[in-house]
Amino acid sequence: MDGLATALDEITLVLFTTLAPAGALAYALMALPLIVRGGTMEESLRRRLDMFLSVPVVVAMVGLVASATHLGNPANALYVLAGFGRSPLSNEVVCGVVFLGAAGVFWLTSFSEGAQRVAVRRAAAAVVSVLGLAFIGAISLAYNASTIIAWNTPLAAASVWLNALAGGPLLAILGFRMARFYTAGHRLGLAYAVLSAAAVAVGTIVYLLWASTLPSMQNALTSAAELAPAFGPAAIIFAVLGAIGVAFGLRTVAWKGEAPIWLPLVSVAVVLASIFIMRFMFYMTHMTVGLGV
Amino acid sequence: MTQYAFHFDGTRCTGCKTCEMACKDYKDLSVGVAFRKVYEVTLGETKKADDGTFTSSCVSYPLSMSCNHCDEASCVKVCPTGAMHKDGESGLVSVDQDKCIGCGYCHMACPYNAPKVDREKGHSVKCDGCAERVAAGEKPVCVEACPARALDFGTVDEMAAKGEQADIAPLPEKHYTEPNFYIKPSEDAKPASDTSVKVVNPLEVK
Repeated sequence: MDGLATALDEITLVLFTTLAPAGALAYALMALPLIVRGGTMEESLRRRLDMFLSVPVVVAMVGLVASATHLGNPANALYVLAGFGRSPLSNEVVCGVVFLGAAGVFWLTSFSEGAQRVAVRRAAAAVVSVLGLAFIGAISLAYNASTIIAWNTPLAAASVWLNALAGGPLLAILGFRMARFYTAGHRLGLAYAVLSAAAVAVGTIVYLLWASTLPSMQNALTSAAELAPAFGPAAIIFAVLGAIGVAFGLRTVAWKGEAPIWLPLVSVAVVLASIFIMRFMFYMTHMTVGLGV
Repeated sequence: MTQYAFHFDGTRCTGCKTCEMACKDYKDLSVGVAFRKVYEVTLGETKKADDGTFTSSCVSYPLSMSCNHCDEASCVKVCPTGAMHKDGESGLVSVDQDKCIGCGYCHMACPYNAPKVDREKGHSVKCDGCAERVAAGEKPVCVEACPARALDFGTVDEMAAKGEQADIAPLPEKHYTEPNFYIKPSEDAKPASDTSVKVVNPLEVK
């Protein structure tokens, strides 16, 4: 018995939990210069940054839409609101819808005359960024059920945040490139690439630690280690792909002049692939304290 | 509220699976869906001695189980829509198909392997304790069908008088969900905390 069937059944959730946290964090990181220095920023640059905040929003939205496709009956989805505050899954969905709704409205209003009101735009960007962080927090706790032993660990929540910190900064670098936004000496982009590198390193340690605990998670049907025998090797692949993604990100921010767009695109694609692999492993490990696999 | 419960007599069950089939027939369940399942629980080992003879401590006992309509049901706790709910009168847990979105979180969280998303129907399905039969003063069809009279159903006080609360392996410790499932264990049954047992018919009960 292995967990391949479970992970394949939940492949859209694998995609959702890969894209949405990275997108939400990239949004906050892209909005940061707008929030902090938007008042003194050159007008056309500020507006480009403002508009290209749509890039991480689209990434997160693709994730949320993908997650909806695994539902048996999406027509009843409005009832999800009823579980807000009680069900961790409701919290996740509501936080996601609120964040994406707010980010969507923010993007639409970037085309209006009102977008000239810099103070309002900065405050709104800060609010949407906080909503994005709340969304990541809700995703990290979505499967926090005491009966699901393989996932009832602080490592599960930590891994979601570390995935977001690995992918988000590189996605923000892509957004900066698309908006043609640069800071002096590319300091911000460099800082984001370093942040991503640190998250890949810590994430790898967390995954290896998690892999070492899987054999002890067992019920009468199987163990988490049997369900996901490649969890440990996958953590190494995560590290290698993450490092490649960071290298492309660094090359993007270190490029003299405007880096070719394929550089940050490859960076994001590779780091998201590394996160996807570990999310796939996560779903493979699903098992309960009793008889559920 | 009158909380209802199941009782399982491990000293009577032969593992014939009539309960499972009666349920599938009565509820008209398709292939791949069963509300009641019979787990074949096995432990022990067989050793070959130097003189070529074998000794074995292997034993096997069946466990017939459906939803345990738990007091602290994990499926109810995690359900995002409230579709999975506990009836205020009977304490039976069932799915409101007009609210269920078929997300499968109930299946993921239940430690008794009870709910499952029926992809054809688009929502979760599970044992509802034959609520309509209970309301008519009858017992669930699995109980009526058992040829060895190993199953029983009644108020939690009546069932608790006949056995211990869900305390045999491979069940999880009862504190997770407080199941309304009472058991008279067979002689070979191990307590719930015992990790030496294995379920040897995993494909049948998946």
